[in-house]
Amino acid sequence: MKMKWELEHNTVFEAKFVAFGRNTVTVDGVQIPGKVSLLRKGELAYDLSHYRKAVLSIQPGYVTAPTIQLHVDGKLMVDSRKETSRCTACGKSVIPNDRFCASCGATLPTAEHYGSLRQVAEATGAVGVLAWLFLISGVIMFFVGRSQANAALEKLTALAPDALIPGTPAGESFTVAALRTQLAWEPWAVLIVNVILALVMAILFFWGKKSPLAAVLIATATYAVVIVVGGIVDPATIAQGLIIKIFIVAMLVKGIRAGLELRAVQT
Amino acid sequence: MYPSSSACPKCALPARAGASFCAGCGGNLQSLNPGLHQVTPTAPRAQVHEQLLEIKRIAWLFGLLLLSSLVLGLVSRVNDSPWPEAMISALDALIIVAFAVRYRTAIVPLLRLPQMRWLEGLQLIAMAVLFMLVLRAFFSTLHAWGVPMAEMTTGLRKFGWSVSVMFVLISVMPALFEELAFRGVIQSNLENILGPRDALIIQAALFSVLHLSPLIFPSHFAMGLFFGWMRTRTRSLYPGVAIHATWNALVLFEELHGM
Repeated sequence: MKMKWELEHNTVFEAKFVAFGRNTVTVDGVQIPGKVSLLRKGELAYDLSHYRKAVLSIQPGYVTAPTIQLHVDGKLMVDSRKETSRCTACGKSVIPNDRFCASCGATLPTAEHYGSLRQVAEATGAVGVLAWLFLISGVIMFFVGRSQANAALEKLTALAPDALIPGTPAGESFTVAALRTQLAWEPWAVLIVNVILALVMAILFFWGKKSPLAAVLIATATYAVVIVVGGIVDPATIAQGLIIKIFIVAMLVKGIRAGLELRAVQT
Repeated sequence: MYPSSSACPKCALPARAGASFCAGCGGNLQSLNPGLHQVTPTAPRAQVHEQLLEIKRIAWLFGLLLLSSLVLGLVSRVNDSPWPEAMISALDALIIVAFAVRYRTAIVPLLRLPQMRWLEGLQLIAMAVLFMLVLRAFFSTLHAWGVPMAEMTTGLRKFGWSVSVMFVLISVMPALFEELAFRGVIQSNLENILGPRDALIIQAALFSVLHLSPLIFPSHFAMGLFFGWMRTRTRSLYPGVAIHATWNALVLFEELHGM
């Protein structure tokens, strides 16, 4: 992972994190002394030109990616992205840490604002991913369920429609005819439920571009309900894919906080 | 315009080539009149923190109700007695009352009879009847398509519980406490954070997903919107409670009479 900050007075601050070997931090291409790691909390201070003090801080994430920030004289800096930053007022390209557009003088977002925007984008992105996951898993489960249902229906062909079959642990029993109807319906129910969930998440993904906080709140609640319903239908599913579930919830919760910050700035 | 080698007269930052304004302080380099612009405001931390706390409290209410549904669902897998359901409903009611007491300043004004002219009241009743007819059509369509719907009275009838108890458990209690939770606690608090429109949509969405069946998400989302709109329009929870209880009573009546 490589991060780059273009600062005032044409200073370029870079941090490079590698899986094997030593992580490096450079200022204008010159490596600065000190050790940094993404696995533990730490800070690396450095004196820049023009009496500016830079502090690179690393906060490991428990579930999500670590937070890497650069402060210069206590002010949070925006890291340079692949795409060029543009002024929202005149459209001219701007340098990320400019506070005002050099062409039209319009105020530019702060680093905190960029951070909130990014977290909201990640959270709404997670909602979009959930939409695809529900759709794909629904289709897969439909075909798997249908082949299993067909196999089970074949076994029932020899039985009379009004014969009784013991059912749930609660003591409920089914007739063969009722069981046939249920077996035929189940794959479709799974598909319909997953398509509805995918649609809900897709709507929230697109609405999230306009009202990110509300969309992410609803998506988080819906996802929690899906986990609980899965747990009721089959308790074993609660523990299945636990890390991914925690990761998704953590991203959505981060998105809620960032959405609140953006809303507070906008109002 | 300042030549590129010059610096801003206010903050001394070197001016960019062809720049009309200083990128550091926003001073106008052409008129040499620095400091015309305001800095972008940052989010007020105390406000964001307070709002986040409010959302966490709402999440607690939602989470506790969801947890009780999980417990009930797991118990129902091995026991079809209606007692667990009755006890969980009572526990839910206690949780909701505790939150309502915590937010009494927002709830008490909603516990007044709606102040409106009789013609306006008639309009609302007509809208409620129309809304219930639309809902009925939706569920009839699901039934016609062969979608199996869970019956609420199966366990109660099996264990010989009386119709009056069923009426309290299925019609009155959910209507009263769901309105108090969703249109009372949740909608009122979200209005302060997100504004009336988003609060209305979110409480309706939470109401629909907490019924735990994606097949009825659309109908219950519409119900949440309608009850929420009714609460905003009348500034009272009672019309919503009345319509909600009437709808539940109709469902109960249909189940008891095999319709």
